[in-house]
Amino acid sequence: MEEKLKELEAKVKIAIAAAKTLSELQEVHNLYFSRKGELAGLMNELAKLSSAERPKMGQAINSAKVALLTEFEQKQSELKRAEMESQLEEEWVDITAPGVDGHRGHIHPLSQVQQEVEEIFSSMGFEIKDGPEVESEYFNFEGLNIPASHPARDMQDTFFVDENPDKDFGRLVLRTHTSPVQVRTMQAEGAPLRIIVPGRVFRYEATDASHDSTFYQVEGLLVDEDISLAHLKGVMEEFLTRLFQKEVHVRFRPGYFPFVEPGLELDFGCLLCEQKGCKTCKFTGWIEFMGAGMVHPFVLKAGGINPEKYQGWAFGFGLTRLVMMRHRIPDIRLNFGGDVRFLNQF
Amino acid sequence: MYISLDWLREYVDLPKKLNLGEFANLITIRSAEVEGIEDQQKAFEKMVVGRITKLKKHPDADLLRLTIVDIGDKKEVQIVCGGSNLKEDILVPVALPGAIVKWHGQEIVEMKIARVRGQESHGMICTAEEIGLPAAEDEREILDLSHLKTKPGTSLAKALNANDTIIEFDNKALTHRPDLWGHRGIAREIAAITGSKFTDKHPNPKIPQNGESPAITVKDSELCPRYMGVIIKGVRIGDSPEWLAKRLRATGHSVINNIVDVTNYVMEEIGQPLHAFDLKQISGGIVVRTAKKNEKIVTLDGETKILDENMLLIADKKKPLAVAGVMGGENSGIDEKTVDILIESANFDPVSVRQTSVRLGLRTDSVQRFEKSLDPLQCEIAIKLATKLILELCPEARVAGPIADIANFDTSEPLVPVDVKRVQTKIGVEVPPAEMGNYLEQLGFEVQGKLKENAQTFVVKVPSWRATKDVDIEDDIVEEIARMYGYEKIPAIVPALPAFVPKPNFERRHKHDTRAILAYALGLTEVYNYSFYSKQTVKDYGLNPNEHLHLKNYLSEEQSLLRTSLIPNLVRSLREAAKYEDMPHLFELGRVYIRKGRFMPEENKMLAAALLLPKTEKNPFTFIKGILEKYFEVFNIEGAQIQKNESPAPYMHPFQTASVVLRGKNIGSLFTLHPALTEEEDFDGRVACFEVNFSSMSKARQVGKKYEVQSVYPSIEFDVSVLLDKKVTVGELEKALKRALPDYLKKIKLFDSYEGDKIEKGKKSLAFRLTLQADDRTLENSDLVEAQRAAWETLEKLGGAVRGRHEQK
Repeated sequence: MEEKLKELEAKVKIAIAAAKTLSELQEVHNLYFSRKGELAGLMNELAKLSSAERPKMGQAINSAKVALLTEFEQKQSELKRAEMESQLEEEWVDITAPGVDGHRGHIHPLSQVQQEVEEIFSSMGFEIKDGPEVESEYFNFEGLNIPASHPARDMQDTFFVDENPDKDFGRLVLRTHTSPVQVRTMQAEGAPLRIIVPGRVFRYEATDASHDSTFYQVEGLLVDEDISLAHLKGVMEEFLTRLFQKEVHVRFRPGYFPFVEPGLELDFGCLLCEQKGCKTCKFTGWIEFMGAGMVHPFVLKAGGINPEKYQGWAFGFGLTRLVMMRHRIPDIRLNFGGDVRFLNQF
Repeated sequence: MYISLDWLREYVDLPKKLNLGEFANLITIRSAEVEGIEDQQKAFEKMVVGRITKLKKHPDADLLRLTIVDIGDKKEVQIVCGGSNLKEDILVPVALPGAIVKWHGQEIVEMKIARVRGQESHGMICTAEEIGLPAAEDEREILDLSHLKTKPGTSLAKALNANDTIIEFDNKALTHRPDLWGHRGIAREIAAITGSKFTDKHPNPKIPQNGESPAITVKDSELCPRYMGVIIKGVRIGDSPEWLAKRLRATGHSVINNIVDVTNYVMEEIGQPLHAFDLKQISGGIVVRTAKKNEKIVTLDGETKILDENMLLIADKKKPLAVAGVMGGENSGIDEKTVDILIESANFDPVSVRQTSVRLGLRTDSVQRFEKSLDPLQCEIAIKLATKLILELCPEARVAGPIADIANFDTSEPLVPVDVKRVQTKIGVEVPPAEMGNYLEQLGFEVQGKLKENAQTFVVKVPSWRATKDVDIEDDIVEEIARMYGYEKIPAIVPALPAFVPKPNFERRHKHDTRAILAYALGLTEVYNYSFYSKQTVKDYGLNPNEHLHLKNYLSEEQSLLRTSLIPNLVRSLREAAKYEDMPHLFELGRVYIRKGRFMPEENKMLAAALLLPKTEKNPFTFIKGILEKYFEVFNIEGAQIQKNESPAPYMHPFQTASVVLRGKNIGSLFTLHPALTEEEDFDGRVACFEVNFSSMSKARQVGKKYEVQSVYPSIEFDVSVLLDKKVTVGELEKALKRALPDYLKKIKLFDSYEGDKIEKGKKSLAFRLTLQADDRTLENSDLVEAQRAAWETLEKLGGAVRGRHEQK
């Protein structure tokens, strides 16, 4: 019996070692370890032994079984690991193949930049205002110190709406700038004021790569006591620095807009060449950015604000131009219409 | 405007060697934008006069020819040229390799030896524009220099006597500066900003005390505050000398004859437009009057102009001679036979000149100056300078008599009180009063009295050349002080204003949120469209013509009306997008403009979407509805309902449309685009859209959704499938089911819907999954049985055949 056990042990060991797959190993299990297996059979033969030999032999079979089972389990986990490994390898994928095309839409770059601009100015305490796009001549011109005879009206070629004029407000026009909202807001809210007005404006002029009949501007207005040109520089440097996430410097030079005095052009230091001079800044180191100046007392009065008590500045820049600059968009007309080859890049 | 540095030097003492870049920059930041500054000698480097010795056809190009050009030093080179006026033996400007030319007047290009269509070319024969001179009318016409009679190989700078430096100003930057429209004024400004000495000229020609003065009657002194005239007899018309011609060329004028050239020269120097009349064409003296209605004049350009009562004329007793300040008449101009002349130096009302110019469509150098409000005092300097120059050019001529001067203008120079503190707070720098005074005096202002160190106010007298409109209030003085102090020295300070939480603009925020959800969650791409469309669009879409605003002036018929709906342009964009993308989905946020019969129209902010779906899609409507439903869900638009559209617009599919209703108010619609339009626009697919009033939705957006407590008891689901009449709506069925079933009905979900060959025509098959769940107990089988029976009976009452009912029994 002892010999039989040794033979069986040797046989099982060989069988375990020989198993190459989990199913082969399972067969080994069925053959030797199951209830009808050979080990169980040997156990049954114990009955034939004398009661003196039985416990000893029984123990020997049991400990052999435990040892064999350990071996079996080791083999089993070994095979499992191997099988997992080969399965993993079979599941190799080409990571350079494109991802599943989950369709997504795109937000227009004008909207994206407008939101950024609004957020920066909001954080500096500016409110965001709106005004009509179909405007009266009064708010678009006269209220801004641009009478009908003024040469500055040439600078802003105007679309006129074919409707009867109003005796106080003149003809209906498509606003040529966002500035009419200055007077509207002053009249509605008085001083102090801190607002920006992003919006659509219109010019009656032939279109080309850099001119369009429709574009977007951002108007800014700060009216309070003791507001100075130094503050305009401060706020604009802060704004541009946050927008470009790079330190930006601005400069003023004289400019003329009837609704401000002094009137200024504001340039910012070219970021591409770090003001060393390049094609983009026409080798001046500066990028023309916007018109600005101290609000003309005439305009404050038109807005019902006392110019003896309050003063402030206003500015207006082209949002469309800013977007074109940021994304190096060569043609302004790409902004309009359904050319998804353009839109899908943003 | 072009300004000659040489000419400026006659008035202002500038260092001989100037750093041109710094000089231009200083003018830009103190006075007005300099667009360019050009050293002519540098600009003409590597350019010579050449003589075309041979002219041949280019073997491979019809418009090009091969020239052999003598470029001096016995050298001849081959140059390929497309000039339209090439001839053998003419002298031409030649840009040799290394020269910098303006290609087609635009792009700056360095010349190199090149092959042009296979033929070697050793440089370029230039047009005027390509070497920075005023462009010829024909852009292919090369500059013929034969009249210079110079030797081939002469440097172009020498041949053209070009050793000046030209400063180009941005005219727009001079809009408010009537004093900067001539060399004298610019020189005065430059003297002030550079701290150099300005020396004025006082031309003082010999003018007899007695003799013949022009008879001048000014009938409208409002429109003509000053009119000066002088008669000069015995002039001989001829070419101007080179020194004069050179200056006119440098400032962009063509050279005509000595008298006309002098008037242009004086205008360039003083900024005062002059006019020279042929005296023999004037009968009975000058009359300055407004035109009669429909009075006619043939202007110098040969055109007949019809005038009206608002236009000011220079006439004689019989006929109009010139449109005042705008253009002379053909009948009274200078020609080669002219002997006696009358020189006019006048001041005209800027608004009148401008309006006349606009109405007649005549924009001239003269208009450009008069419309800026010129100083009437400069008339005198100008007429004296012109007289002096004419006498120099025509030594045999003589002034016939005293200068006539009809003056009706206020000579007093305005006084402006200045508050020191206010100036300082506006600039943001405490500029001391004495410094303010210095700046102003450098610019020709006069500070009244002595300025003390601690002065709080002072009064400034404005010089005549700044007083016509440019400077009249304190704010104008602020500008003078600020720019002289130096804009670049003003520090950048973020204002220390009280912390202020801006009033939120919910609508704007909602706009940005809307974009994010539509684009990134629902897969639509944002487009911007123009606010205009055409009359044809109104017709095609069946929009209400009376609600449309028309533009009086428009760029094209396609853009002549203001939109009352975003849909037409959005559909157009969808069509464009479909060229590049399969089944695009677009949206737009924008305004529509509704004519209301009152002065201001109604402007509404709208949100619209358009989807292109495959042709095989029978129910495009359901896709657009799905997007709108998700949108309402995300933003919790309280009370938004999709209901039957009682009055579908003509551009909507009449049976695939619904209204969006918010608290009883119709705020928009969703629909499948009418197939007629889909066809018209040539879509390969079907189009579904919505357009909803954005402001209304934005107002209804609810913040803070309420959490619904979930039942802890298990739920039971059962499906029911029903065959019924096609026109019975899912809405009706759901409503009836909800009414009939016990309150533990939690959810009804339509999970299948079929119409087609497999079932009877006019019928549809629907399958619902119903979920039952109670909040307070576990449901039992009897509850399920009851609910099922109620569901079956409800559906049957509505005419449905419930599938499998009998088996389940």
